[in-house]
Amino acid sequence: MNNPQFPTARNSGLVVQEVPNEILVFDLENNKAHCLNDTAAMVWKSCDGKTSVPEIAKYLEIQTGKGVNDDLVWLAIDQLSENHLLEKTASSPFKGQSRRDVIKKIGLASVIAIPVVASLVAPQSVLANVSCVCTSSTDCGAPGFGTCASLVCCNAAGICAPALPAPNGGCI
Amino acid sequence: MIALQVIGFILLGLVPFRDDLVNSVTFDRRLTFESFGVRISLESDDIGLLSVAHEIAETAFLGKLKLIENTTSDAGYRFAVIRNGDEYQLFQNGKRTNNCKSRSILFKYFRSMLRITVAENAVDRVFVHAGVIGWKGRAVLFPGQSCRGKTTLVKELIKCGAEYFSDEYGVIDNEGFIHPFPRDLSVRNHVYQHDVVDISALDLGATIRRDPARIGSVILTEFKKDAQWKPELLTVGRGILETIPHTIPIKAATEMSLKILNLAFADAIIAKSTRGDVNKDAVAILTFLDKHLN
Repeated sequence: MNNPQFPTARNSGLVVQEVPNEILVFDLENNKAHCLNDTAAMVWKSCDGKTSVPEIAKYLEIQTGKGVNDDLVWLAIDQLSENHLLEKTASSPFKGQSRRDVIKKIGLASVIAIPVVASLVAPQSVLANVSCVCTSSTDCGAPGFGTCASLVCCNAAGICAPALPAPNGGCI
Repeated sequence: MIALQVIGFILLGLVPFRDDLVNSVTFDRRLTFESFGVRISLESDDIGLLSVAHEIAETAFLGKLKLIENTTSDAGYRFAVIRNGDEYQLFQNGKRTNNCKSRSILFKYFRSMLRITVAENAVDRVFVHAGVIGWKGRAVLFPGQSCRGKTTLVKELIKCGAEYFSDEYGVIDNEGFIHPFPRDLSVRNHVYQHDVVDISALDLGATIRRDPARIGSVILTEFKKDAQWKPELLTVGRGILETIPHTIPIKAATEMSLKILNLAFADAIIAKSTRGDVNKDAVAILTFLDKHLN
């Protein structure tokens, strides 16, 4: 039912925190966090499934008092869709163009901030913060130990790291 | 000795086997404590091991631990340490999770697991894996993973006169204040960097902060050989985003974590940069803080 021309913001499985001029979104299903700048946030909030892209552009013009074209809204929708923040994937009108080229084109014409959705993957496990302590080499291969100095060796000091240069220095 | 007396006082008889945990094991020596609102039981079949486990829990939480005398009440989390032949075994919530011939290594792991359990489940507190110092009356948070130079930087900053809050956790309350967690600094051996020794901040000449403070700055930085401190200022949203991977309860209590980070970071100067030589860049960071913290 969702026509990408009438995009709908996803609202399930998300934790949303408004911060001044930005929105933080934590996606519980995909274990990702996103930060939407002011422009991307305004577009996302306008995606109610009833408002078309040109209408969203108009709304942004009213909110900012500055000229906004459809391409700028599409640039936001493109990123929101890519990050699973819309109910249905929107088909980008920028076929064959890199995002950089689109931003360059829009950037020259736009007087409001280019929409940006910054994202990162949250750690799978709190063990990522355990300081790589271990009791056996098996621990070092567990989820959350990916940043330790060794993923295969629990050394004689009980750290996932290469063996210590000492007698009985744990695994080699 | 005191711990043994306390345990002796608290000991019950045989703890009944819990039917609700399949393959779950309980042991007949037990004590229960609460720290940061998290209730944890320690169990063993050996009073000496239980005593050591209790002492480790006391030091792990810097004494912020309250023994619960009514041990029949259910703890949310259970740890057990036992000896089986020539090895030591750790059980978590009734299931064996680790074996080790070295008692000290098993207890070191146990201490980390205890801390992470409380850090993840603390009530009204958000634990961020970070170094924290005090400068000009405000707290400065350095979120980051292990082995990325947090302690080295904190050690250098306190040598330059910064107050010591923590080299492991920034503990943020529900009003956005950050509390000291001044454990000994885990300093890596110069010769062999994966060998860690604990050094008291007082021995380094530090002033240890005792009261909570507002966060004046969040510095997202990690060591890179030949890098230089060239800070880029971030918005509050971007700062929180970059701190999320170091926020221990982010998955267990997402809404509370984001709300508290938002409160805590609201007035903070947030900067990001790699850094290189710690002597040079510690001074550069303090110069940056001098410029931005009024």
